[in-house]
Amino acid sequence: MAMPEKNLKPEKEPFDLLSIPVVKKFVKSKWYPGIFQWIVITVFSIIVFELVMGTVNPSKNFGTTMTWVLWWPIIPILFLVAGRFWCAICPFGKLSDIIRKTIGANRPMPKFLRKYGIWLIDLFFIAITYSDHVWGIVESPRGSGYLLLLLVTMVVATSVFYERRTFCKTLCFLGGLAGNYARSGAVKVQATPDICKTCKVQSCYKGTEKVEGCPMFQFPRTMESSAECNICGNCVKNCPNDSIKITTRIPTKELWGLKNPKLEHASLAAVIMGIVFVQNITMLEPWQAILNAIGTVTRTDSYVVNFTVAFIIAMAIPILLLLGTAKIASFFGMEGTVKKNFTRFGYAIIPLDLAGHLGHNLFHIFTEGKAIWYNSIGLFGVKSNPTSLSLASTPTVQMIQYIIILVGLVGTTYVVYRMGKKESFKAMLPYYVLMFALAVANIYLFSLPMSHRV
Amino acid sequence: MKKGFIFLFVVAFILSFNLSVLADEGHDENVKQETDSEHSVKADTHSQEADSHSEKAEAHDKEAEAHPEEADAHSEAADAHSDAANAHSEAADAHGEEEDSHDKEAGTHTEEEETHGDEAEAGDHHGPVVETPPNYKVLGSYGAVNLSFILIGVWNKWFRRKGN
Repeated sequence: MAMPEKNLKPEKEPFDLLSIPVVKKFVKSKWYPGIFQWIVITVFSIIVFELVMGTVNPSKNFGTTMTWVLWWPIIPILFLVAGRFWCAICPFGKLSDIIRKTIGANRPMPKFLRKYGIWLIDLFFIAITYSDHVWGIVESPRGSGYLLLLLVTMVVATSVFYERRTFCKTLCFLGGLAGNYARSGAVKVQATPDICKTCKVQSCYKGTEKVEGCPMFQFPRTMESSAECNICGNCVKNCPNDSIKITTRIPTKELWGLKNPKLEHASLAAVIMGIVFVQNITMLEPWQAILNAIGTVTRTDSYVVNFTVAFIIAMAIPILLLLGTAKIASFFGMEGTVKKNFTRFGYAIIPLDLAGHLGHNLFHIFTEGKAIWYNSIGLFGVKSNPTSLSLASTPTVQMIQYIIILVGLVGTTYVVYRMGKKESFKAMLPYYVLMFALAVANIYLFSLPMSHRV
Repeated sequence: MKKGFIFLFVVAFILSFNLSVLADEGHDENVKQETDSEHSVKADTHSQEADSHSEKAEAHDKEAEAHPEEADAHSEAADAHSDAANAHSEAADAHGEEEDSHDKEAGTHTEEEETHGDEAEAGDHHGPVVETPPNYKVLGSYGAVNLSFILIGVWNKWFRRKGN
């Protein structure tokens, strides 16, 4: 029976940030995102210089502090609040833009990268996390500097040959993380279908003489996800019909509405959870005992060997748990194949990933935060011998971490609920239990004493 | 909106207390807190605690005994070392940077004193740090590789294509 029209709740129109005249004017101007890009690339240059030329004491190195105490902790907040806006102003992206404009051959992206790019991103992310633990990149200013220079080299190499931001789309280690987190973001770029269906120029994708087309190879008319939108504003500038909107939305909303979930994204979400566990565990007191226990099995004292085993186990645990949960759920009557449910519900871990990442890194920003100020003024020759670098006491930080995990759990649980709305509670129960268990594991790890980064 | 403000107020109120939460027990040995000004207050007790935490700290205590006149300075340093030992355990020795600094640890006593003095300042949890100059070979290699790519780009765009 059809519902009377008056009883239908009209869907609330999302707020379009471009409806604010000042914002629209700014986004359409050449200052956006250029002004932010130039500021960031200037600071980035100083950071790299300090990392490779400055003191090797990580506590006093401006580059280490800005990278690992400030940038890395706030990056998940940025993704949550503004989607992949960071990618629009990222120094690597700007460098790529400059090279392509001046000396770029602008060849099409190779098929191999198009097909396996996301897997390469996942691999690079895992490789960098792994190498950090094996070679101590975070704790070594020189190591951090060389890592950044390696990324610069990759950007230069790809931008000299290939069109748009091939590096960002298929090789940047942060790309997978950024994409997944941006799906939970509160901002979304979308086109107006009614306007776009009459458009014949498609300059949002192709670009114009003045402004390049979408650097991330996206076509706003059919773009379903924010995972690969930098909010760079190129489509806004290029569209002759004012079809593009930058709207706000409930964070995590995209996760339960995905039409084409992909295995690689779901796997990365699970792997990130494992990596957050590794990041936490290696900074805890029981870490040595864990290494010793692994050593009794591997029969070696080699840190590299034992850490590699621990790393693989930590990454495999969330994947196996998710796989096991999908299997149990299918026993309980969940529709669809195990692979399909693994892929679909893998996205539900993302809010908890974000919370775990944020919680872990907020510890560093709260307990080492003053180093940002002291090392910044140190650049101008002001010497300081602070008695403490912490901004808050440990119990306060822990309380904040617990709250963040609980918020992440609420987000994840709600996503699971929305994803399985048509399923019975019995079929959904294994997923609720899994998410709860992951949250408890995070809270437990945060309750243990942790060491500092710089 | 109103509920949001009430929630924020409640959270701010709760956090204004120095709450001990869940596993706060054992935080005397907590590496998180030891960075604070407690360094100076707890110096003596920590130099004893350091024995049980690591061989490194033990060595420093012995040093302090051997040089009673410098014991004060060393107790602070040993404290910092116990932090480092707690934090990184022996596993951290695998890190290249640290290996360097540990090797240097076996150097002269005056060198150690200097680095320990630095270390006693808050925020140093990484053991003694020995300054090393920039590695110009590595930087030069990066520069050469990047420059070669840029030259390929210049040749490709300004010469090859113009020739065509």
